[in-house]
Amino acid sequence: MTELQFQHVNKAFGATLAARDVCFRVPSKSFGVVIGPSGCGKSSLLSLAAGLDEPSSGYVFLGGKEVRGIRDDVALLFQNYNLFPWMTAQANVAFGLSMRGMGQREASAKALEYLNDVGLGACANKIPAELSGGMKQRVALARALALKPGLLLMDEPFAALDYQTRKIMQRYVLSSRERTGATVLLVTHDLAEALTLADRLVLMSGAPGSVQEVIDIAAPHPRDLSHPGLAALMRKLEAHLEAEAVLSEFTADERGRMLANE
Amino acid sequence: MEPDNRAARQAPQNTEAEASLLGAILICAVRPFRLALLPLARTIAPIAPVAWIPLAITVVGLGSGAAIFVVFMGIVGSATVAAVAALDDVPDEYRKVARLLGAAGANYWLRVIVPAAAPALVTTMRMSFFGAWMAVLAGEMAGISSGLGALIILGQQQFNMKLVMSGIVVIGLLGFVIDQLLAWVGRRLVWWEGRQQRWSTPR
Repeated sequence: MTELQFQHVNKAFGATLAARDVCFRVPSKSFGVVIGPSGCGKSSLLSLAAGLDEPSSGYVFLGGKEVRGIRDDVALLFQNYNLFPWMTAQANVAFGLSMRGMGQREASAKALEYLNDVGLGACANKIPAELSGGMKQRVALARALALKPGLLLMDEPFAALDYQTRKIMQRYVLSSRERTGATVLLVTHDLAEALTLADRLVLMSGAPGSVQEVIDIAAPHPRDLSHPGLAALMRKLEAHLEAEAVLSEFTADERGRMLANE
Repeated sequence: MEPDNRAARQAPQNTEAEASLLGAILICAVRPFRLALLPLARTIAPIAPVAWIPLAITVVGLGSGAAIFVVFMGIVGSATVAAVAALDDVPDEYRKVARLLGAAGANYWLRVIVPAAAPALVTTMRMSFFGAWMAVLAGEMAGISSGLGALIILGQQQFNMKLVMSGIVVIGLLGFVIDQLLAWVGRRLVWWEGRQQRWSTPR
C-alpha cells in the first residue's frame, strides 16, 4: 500500500512561500495529477514526496509513514529526462539496479529487459545524445520502472515531446501503472493530459500554491475527452487557469485583498 | 647542461592533477575540508611559481626535486580551485537523479559527479599543463640549472641568439605536442562528447 498524503504542508524558500497548507491524498495504485499555473509549487510538492526536500511545516506520508529523506520505493521522472550522457541507454537503466545491490551482469540483463519493454532494446548501446526526445523519455521511464517503485513521480515528463509521441507515452505510462500497480503523481500544465490520465485531479492556484479543489474522475480508460462530463470539466479547468493568469498580474497582497473582497 | 628532467616535468603534472582532483572531491564532499582547504587553495593559487624557487632550493636542493616542488606549488592551488568550480557546477538534476537511484559515497562521486564534471576537468588539466610547463621553465631559468630554460639562459650569457631561439622553438613545439597528447587523452576520457558531436553535426 503506497498511498501518498500531504497534510497541511507549507513550503517556503527563504521569505517566499511556495506552497501553503497543501492537503490532498492520492490513494494507493491510483493516478494523481496536479495541475495549476506556473510557480504554484507543483514541482516542490514532487520534491517533498521524493524526499529530496523537507516541508517547512506539515507532513508528507507515504504508505502511512512520514517521508523523511529518499526512499527505495520512489522514482522520479523529469521533464528533461536527466539521463547520464556518459552512459549508454542500457547502463543508464542498470545504474539504479546496481546501486541497489544487484550484480553488474544481472543489472545489465534486467536493464535490457526493461528497454525491450519500452521498445528500445535495439538502442541499448546508444548514448542519450543519439536518441530522440521520446526515446530518451522512454529510457528514463524504463530506468524508473526498473526500480519497481511503489510511487512514481513525474514532473511534466511529456512537455517537451511532440503530440504523437506524447500520446504514445501517455498510453505506455497507463499500461505500466496497470502492470506494476504503482501509485502515480504527475505534474502537468496540459489539461488534456490531466483529463486523459487522472483518477484524482488536484487543482492548484498560484502564488503561494494552494489546493483549490480535488476532483475524482471515474471515467474508464481510454478516455474520450469529448464525453460531456469530461468536456465540462475541461471548460472548468480552462476557466480556472485563465482566472489564475489574470490574477498572476497582481502582487500577492493585491490578490489577498481581491480574494477577501469576494 | 643536464637534459634529465623530462620525467620530472611529467611527474609533477600528474601529481598536481591527481592531488587537485582528490583535494577538490574532498572539498566538495566534506564541509570541514571545504572550510579549511578551499581558502588555502585560493591563497596559494595567485602565488607566481617563480616565488617558490628559493624555498624549493632551500627545502629540496637544486635539480629535479626543486622543479617538481615549484610546479606542484605553482599549480596545485589554481588547479584545485578550478576543479572545485567544475564539480560545483554539476547540474543539480544529476545529483538528484543519482541520489534517487541510490548512489552514495564513492559511487556517487566517481560514477556521477566526476564524469558529469569531466569535460571541465579535462580543460582544467590542459590549462594546468600550460601553467606547469611555464613554471618548470621559469624555474630552470631562475636557478634550477638544467633543462630548456637553463639552455636559454646559457644562450643569453653567451650572446648566442640561435641557442635562445632554438630553446624557445623547442619549448613551443614540445608544449604543442604534449597539449595535443592531453587533448587526445581528454577525448578518450570524455568519449561521449565525440559521439554527441558526430550525432549533432549535419551530414
